[in-house]
Amino acid sequence: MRFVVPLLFIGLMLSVAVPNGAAQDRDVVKSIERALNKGDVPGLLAFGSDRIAVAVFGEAREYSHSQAEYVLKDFFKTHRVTSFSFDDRSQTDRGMFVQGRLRYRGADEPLQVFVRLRMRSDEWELREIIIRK
Amino acid sequence: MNRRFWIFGLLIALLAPATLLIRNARIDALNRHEDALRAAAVTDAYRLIDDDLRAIQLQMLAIGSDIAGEEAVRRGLDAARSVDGPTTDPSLVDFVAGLSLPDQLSIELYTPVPKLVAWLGASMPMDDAPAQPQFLDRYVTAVATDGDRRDALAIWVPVRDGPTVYGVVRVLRILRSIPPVQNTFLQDYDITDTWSRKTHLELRTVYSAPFDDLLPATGDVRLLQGIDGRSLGRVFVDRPGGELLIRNVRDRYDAVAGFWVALAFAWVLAGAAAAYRKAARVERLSRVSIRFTILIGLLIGYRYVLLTLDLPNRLQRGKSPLAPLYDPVHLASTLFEGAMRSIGDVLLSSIFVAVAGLAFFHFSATILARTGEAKQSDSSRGRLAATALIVLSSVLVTSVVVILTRVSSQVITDSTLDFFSRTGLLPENLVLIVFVSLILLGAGTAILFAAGMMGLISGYRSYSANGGAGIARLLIPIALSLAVVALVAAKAELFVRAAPWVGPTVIALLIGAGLLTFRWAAVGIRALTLRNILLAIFWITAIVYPLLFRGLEQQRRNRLVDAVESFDDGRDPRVLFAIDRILLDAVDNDALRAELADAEVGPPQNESDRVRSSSADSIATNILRRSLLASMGAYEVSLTILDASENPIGRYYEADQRLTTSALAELERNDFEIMKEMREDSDVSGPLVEPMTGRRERERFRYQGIAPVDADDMTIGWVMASAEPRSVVEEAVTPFPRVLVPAGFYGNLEGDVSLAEFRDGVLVRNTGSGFGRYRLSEDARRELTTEADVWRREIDRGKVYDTYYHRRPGSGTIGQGSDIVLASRLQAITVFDHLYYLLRLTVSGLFLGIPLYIFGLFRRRLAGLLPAPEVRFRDKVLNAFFAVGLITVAAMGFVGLQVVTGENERAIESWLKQHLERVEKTLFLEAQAGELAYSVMDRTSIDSLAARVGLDLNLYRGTELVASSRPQLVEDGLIDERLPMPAYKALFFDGFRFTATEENIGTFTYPAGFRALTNEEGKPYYVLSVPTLPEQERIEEERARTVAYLFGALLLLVIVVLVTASILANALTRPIMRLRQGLEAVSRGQFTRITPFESRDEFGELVRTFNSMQDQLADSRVKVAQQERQLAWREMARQVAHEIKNPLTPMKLSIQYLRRSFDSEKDRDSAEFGSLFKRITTTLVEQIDALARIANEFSTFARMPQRVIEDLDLNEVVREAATLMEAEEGISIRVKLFDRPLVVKADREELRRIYINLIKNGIQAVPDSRQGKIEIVTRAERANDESGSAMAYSEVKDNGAGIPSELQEKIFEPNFSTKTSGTGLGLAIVRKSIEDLNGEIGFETRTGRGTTFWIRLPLTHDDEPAS
Repeated sequence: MRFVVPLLFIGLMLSVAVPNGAAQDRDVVKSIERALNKGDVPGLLAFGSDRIAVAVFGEAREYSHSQAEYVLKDFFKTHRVTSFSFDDRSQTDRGMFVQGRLRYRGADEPLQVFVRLRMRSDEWELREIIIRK
Repeated sequence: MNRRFWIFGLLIALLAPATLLIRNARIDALNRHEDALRAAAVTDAYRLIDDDLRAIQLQMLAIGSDIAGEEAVRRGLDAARSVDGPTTDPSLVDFVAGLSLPDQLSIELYTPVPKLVAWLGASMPMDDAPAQPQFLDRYVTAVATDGDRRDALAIWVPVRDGPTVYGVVRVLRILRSIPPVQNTFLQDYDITDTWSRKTHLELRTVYSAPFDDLLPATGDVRLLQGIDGRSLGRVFVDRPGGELLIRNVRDRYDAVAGFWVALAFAWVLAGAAAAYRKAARVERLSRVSIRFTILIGLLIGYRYVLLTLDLPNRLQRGKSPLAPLYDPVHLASTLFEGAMRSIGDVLLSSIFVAVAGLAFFHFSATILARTGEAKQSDSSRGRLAATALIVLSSVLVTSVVVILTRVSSQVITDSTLDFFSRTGLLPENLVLIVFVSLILLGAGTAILFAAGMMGLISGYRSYSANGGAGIARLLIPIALSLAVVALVAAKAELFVRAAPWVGPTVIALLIGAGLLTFRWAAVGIRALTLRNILLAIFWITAIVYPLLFRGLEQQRRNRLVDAVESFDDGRDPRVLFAIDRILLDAVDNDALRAELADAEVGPPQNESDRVRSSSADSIATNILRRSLLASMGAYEVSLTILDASENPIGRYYEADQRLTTSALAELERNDFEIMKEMREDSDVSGPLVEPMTGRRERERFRYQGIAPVDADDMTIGWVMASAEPRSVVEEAVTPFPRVLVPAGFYGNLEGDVSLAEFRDGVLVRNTGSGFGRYRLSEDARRELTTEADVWRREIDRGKVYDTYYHRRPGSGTIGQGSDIVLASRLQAITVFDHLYYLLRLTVSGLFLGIPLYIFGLFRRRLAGLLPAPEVRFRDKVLNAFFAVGLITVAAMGFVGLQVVTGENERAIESWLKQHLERVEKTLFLEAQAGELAYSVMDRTSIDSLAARVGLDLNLYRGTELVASSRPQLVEDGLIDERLPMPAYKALFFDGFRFTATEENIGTFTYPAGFRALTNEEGKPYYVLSVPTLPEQERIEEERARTVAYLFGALLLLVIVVLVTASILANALTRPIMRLRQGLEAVSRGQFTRITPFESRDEFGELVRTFNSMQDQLADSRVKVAQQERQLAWREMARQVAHEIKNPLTPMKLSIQYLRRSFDSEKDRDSAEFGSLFKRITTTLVEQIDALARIANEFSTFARMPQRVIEDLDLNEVVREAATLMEAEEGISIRVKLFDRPLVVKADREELRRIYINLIKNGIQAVPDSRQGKIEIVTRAERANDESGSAMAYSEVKDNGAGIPSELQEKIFEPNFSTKTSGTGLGLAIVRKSIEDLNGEIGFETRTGRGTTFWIRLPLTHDDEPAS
């Protein structure tokens, strides 16, 4: 009897740990949404691949993970986020593309944000961020 | 630290809080008068804008007025008034073609009509200035608009001579330019952005439009006025919120306060440095170490204080030219918590590392110089301290290698700069700054490494001095081995399989750099010669480059992986999304709906027409341009509008196919039919988006979507959108030029990357010229059975490539059907490429080296070292060779570059000419009898001609562009619709049939060729032009490669020159050095031969003559020695005879007296006879003893007894002699012995006697009136001759009367003595003994003060002396 509770606990942990495809997709999107809501760059790039394409108001470039962090920090320093939410997405077996609106202090019109993810080794990784007016 | 220092510190400490107080007061004022201040901010912004705009206009007016005042302009315009078309006046054309204008400016010359007669720069549509009443009377301002792409400010300046008006000069200046794509060459420009940055306000500008309905309900509007009072536009400002104003004020004051804080910290650091330097001179080592630790801690802390305060970035934020230095877009790394977060921070951190290096070196040198203190009373404590020193030094040595390795490779991978472009000798500015930073970091690392090496040596010595010599020898290898393990564990990436040579090479070079540092530090500022500085730069470059190259390798790999990914990217969800969006936007677009409602129904009347309605094209273009789809550079996108009967009536199409409008429309109808059928089958109500087979590449997907445009429950038309992935490099005849590719193009559109796709090992698709085989190589296939990603170096048709193979996941197993392998390849880096990059790095290092050299010159001059009193012959030779070599290399480089560039230009021109001739010949093939090419052109489509000849073509009628095979470039404003003035001059005035000019798109420059098609009168009717845009890549690559090889070879030449110079200088000076040593030996009385020098030149002869002279001298010396010996023997014999006679005479007299007494009976029987007998016999015994003593001393001098030579410690012998003499003479002898054994080969007894003799002489030399002081010192030192061998030095010093100068030469002679007793052989015996031991003896004396006898004996072991 005394082993039942630990076994149940282990089973519960395992059940939570076992990847659930759709749930995993939602988790990634939710996590990215939360990070963008707070302007949390490390949280956003936690899913980033080694190289990330970042386009801020037009010009897109491929950056290393380190460099993308600073480029985005620079952006969020001058654009203090007040709210963000994703409102559309499309997905294939290996890719996901989500769109949202970002509102920041001092601006009436929101910015459009597009995030592209790709599946690699059964995990989603953030590959591209596009920020437009 | 004096009083001024403290006053300065106090002042700085007060400034920061004072600034913050002022800031708070300012913010309070802001809060109280917010509205007024907001209004004031807007007013200030308007004033800035007005002033800026006015300044621009005044500049333009000045230029226009200058041109209008030229005689050639007046004459030309006068002549042009009477002819049709552009001017016929050559002097006007010459004048205009020769003008040089600033960026963004262009000029046009008009007759009063106005009719254009001459121009220079980009064209703009006409503005409303000619309609103004004051036109031609005075200057008029206006704004010219080119759709929504460009706006330009225009100033019209009349060309007058009194009342006569000849024409007008129009000066244009771009105010806003929006290119269709954004990349390195093409970027948005809007003067409003400049004003926004300067005013910190959100601004929006509208030019020359009706303004009333654009006025926002809130916000301010300002009229933009010309200097003639005309309205040019409106600028709208969003009145800043209080929060923004407060933030601006806070930021400004915080920046100033931050500066004071940084200055205060610098003051603290300066104080710590001064305290350390003082401690290093006078304090104990432990205190010095504490001060040093504080100093280093403060130095590192200061760097992070600057990071935290964001200095110096926040002081210049947004202001050029420093802004790019701190823009993370160029370089940003998370290494070391932000110390490398921008180019400026990399530079600053490198300076800090260099300063830390100097501090560490100074500290290590201090420890090394004071290792005598290392011997502690408690040896175990001393050993512990020594161990700590060894460990810390090992950590230092390891850390600096890790830092240098990580930084050097990360600056490449964490940057978007192109470090390894082949753009000439000098890299571009930002890359140059990064290289300079790395050289500085390399120098700092080398100095730190040297400091670590010194620490290890000091630790070893200290450990040995505390009784642990044996363990010390083991400790260092152990510590260093652990350091290497730590390097590997820290992923320093020095020891990797791919390049195993890097790690050992870098470490060996660092050790070499450390040794050089020791050598140069010993001579101080004398080391700052040009040769040494250049050597240092070369050395550091050699250290840094392999590490940089690791980053380049990684970057190349990233490119190849990205290229494959792009090549493979067939399922992109963002495209589905983007097409869906654009279709939804399109169906709601009012302009589109209105266009469809008005459109006629039915097929196009003329199949060759491009479009039914240009407005439908514009609508499609506008919709697509604003969409996400258009920003996807990896795709060719199109948007087609179809009417209710499903006929295409307008489109935006950017594919590069050579399709006629009718052919394109046919394709569109086919696609639409398929899509419509699918939509009906799927029963969707809104847009339908589906992947389809690629139009150009059947194996690829493309995405197509359609949506109906409904009105009043009727479908009035359709919208169809398409996106097809671009090939990375097309195999089409004219590949897509890089200048027109959006930045961040996913896959890098570089002409040098080749790609291929293999299915089941068979090539099915490829781009570029790298993959020449139709099957996948067996070796690659074999590796791909176990690995999905394979990297290989392969040779294909004599070229070496780096190739990346990727087996697509889920594509099947290799060899078992349906496997898909994608591959990308780049040409490998050659040796000459390496040399070229090395040279660029070295040249960057000169930006540090030259200021350092100038500083060195200045300091050496101050120190009186310049001009140098003596310059060695070797240095003169070396400098001469060096100078000649450098001049030769520089001249060759300059000439070579000119030749390469010139040849390249000539080759391009020749290529352009040949191709244009081919075009003309193609036209002639279609000509009827007697028909000229120009009339064939009348009936030929430019598209078909371009397709036939495989070139892009533009066609000008007169000076106006009438057709282009790339109409999109014309519509986008990237190609001007007017013939460039230099081409116009050459073809229409100078009579050339062909000319080439340099054109540009944005900052991308390319050569273009122009050929005139003349009419029957021989005048240009058409002008055909070939822009070399697509081929520019290849031409530039070839030119760059040639330049790279040239510079690579030059670097090799520089190295060869330096090495040759060094060898030759050594070869020339070696015999001179030997001669000099020989002469020095002669001057010292040593008559040794110089080692034979095998040379058939004058030097060899000189050496042979010298040796012959030495032989003769040696013979003479032998003879002289013989004579001296004979003389010495005679003298000694005389001395012996004299000495022996002395006791013999009294002996004889005594015996004679005794005999007489014995013979006398009276005396014999007397009582005194017994005592007389005893007295005389006693005297006889004494005299016999004296004879025996004389015999012994002469025996000793003649060296009769045998020596026992052994290794003995000189210190011990000296101590024994001193102890003996102290006991015998009852005086105190001061002994200062060397702290380590001085092992010499000698006879112990003999050596002791020597010192006893010297001590005795010293005691005897002290006058009675003085207290005698005898001091004996021993130490180790180096011989002064060339051998530099280790010697044991000892001296016996007394405070006696000294040796008078007249006696000094005789002091060592055998029969010389200043004493009343003794044989005078003592010092002669001492000297002979010392000479027999291969030593030297001498003395220094001061009359009345004392004498010091010194002895040098060779040490048996050549241990490094302490000083």
